[in-house]
Amino acid sequence: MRRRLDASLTFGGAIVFALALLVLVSLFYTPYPPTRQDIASRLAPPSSTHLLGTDHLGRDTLSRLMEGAQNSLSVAVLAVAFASVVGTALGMIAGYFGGWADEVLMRFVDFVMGFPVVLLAILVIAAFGPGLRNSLIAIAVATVPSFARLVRGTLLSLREADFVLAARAGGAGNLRVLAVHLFPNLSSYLLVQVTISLGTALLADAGLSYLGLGVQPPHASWGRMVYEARGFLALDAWPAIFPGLAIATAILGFNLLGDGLRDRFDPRGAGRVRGTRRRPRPGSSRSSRG
Amino acid sequence: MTAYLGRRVVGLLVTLFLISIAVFAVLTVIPGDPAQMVLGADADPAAYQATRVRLGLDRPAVSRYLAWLARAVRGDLGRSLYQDRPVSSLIGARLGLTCALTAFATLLALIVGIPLGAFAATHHGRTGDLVGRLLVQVGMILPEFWAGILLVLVFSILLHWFPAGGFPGWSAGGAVAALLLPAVALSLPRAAVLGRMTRASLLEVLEEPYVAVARAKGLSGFVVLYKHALKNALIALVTVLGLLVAQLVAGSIIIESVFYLPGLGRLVVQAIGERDLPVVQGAIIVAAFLIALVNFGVDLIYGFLDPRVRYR
Repeated sequence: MRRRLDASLTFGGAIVFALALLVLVSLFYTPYPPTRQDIASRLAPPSSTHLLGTDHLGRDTLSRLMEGAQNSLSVAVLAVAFASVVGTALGMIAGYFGGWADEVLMRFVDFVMGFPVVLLAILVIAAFGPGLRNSLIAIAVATVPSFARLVRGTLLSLREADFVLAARAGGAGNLRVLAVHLFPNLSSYLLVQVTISLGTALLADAGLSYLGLGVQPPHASWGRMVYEARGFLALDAWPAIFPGLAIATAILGFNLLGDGLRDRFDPRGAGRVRGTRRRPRPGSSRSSRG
Repeated sequence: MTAYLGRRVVGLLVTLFLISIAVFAVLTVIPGDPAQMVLGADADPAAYQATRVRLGLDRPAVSRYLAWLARAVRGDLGRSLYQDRPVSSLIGARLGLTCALTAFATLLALIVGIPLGAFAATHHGRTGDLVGRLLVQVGMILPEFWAGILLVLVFSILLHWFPAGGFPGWSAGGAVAALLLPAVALSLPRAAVLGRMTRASLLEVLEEPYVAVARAKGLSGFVVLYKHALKNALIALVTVLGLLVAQLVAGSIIIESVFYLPGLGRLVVQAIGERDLPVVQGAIIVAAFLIALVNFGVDLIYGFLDPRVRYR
């Protein structure tokens, strides 16, 4: 069993590493300029001149895939970065101090969780217009609850622990207890959550940009590339297949990495109920609807 | 049960109230002047004033909200800025399709996901489990719109079995054929989630003493699984059903775009392009209302299935 678990860590890690490399390379080099049109060779199948073929405007699919990786991944990374910081702070306040702050926060969390990302994004985008920044805001807001719940649940079970009482008896204030004593106990859970949220955010970005609500043309994002290829599906399917494959592979990478990290940090449940992503963590037994 | 019901009704009303405030607030803080957007930049000042009054922009936000809410509860969601039709009739014409698609996909997700999870759990640690988990993993990483495109590619373009998109109207055969591929695409990720949850929750239930007792009595594996274990395992699933339907409503917005279906989703996406705010507002309210209603229903079922919930 042990070997299998490490396999998902290795495989997921390799995919994520390859993605990071792809983004890094795309900053300096793409085979063709991603927005350059070459009408003479449009809808070309994969070949030695265009490794992944071209789209309906003769733009090189590989180059656009590389530019799309930049856009799609930066939306995911920034949204999750924001959500993890805000969500952790909110979860700490709720879980550590409890009381009405907890009540208000959990109502907010339930409310946002019951409101799908796409609807939230449509609302934000209807107000402020489509674009990378606004879809990022929507995804970030929608990702906050998962962090807030995780941190709150973990803190509820930890705040009465002996080491916390000892720290407090030793004269540590709330801030010190949270930052020095409790936060290190959260970090492994947070790392897992960050990894999994990256996959979810990527999926949300793909859906939004498919609808034309994300990155605006002529720039590429993976979801938008699939959309642009939809109309020419009967003529040439390659431009629709490659970006979709990229999305699926990237999400697979984040999922595997997240699973692998979780099993590494929490060997207890590793064997029996593997693959249960929402297995209740200590103290988070409260369901979304009480 | 009455007290529980009362609490849930209050909860539903609070949720709807919050949604209405959120939707109204976001669309009130928008940059730019809606009256100017309707008339264009070089409009006649008198016409501009008249439009402002007609759109209610000369009054403070709170009074606009109350007036809007009072009309909304009577089913009046305002008029489209560009189509000169009531928003409610635009939505009404498209709501049926979105509901049918969502219901269809929910059904598919249930009849694929639960048996898949049960199969994996009963073959725990063996090849069947591995296959089941693999299928779940595949379902989880496929974006629904891409799954839809792959289905079109195979079943419409290569095999010519189903239409590649569009909706012929509500004749029995045509409607089912037009909705089948979209519903399959939409249900795949949810079937995967349900499969994973069924497997996990069944594995836990199978460890319970009462399952051992049932086995010790000499009941067949089939009866133990379906009559004793699965029943209790499914209670856990009911809690996620509400969340699942919420995702399906949202997912149908994307899937309708893939298959060119004239549903609520297409209406919203088009309205965003035109910045037709009353339509966006109305459609989001209706979608959120549907989701809240389903959640309410799920809560009731949950309270019925698991009496402990009622006293929490």
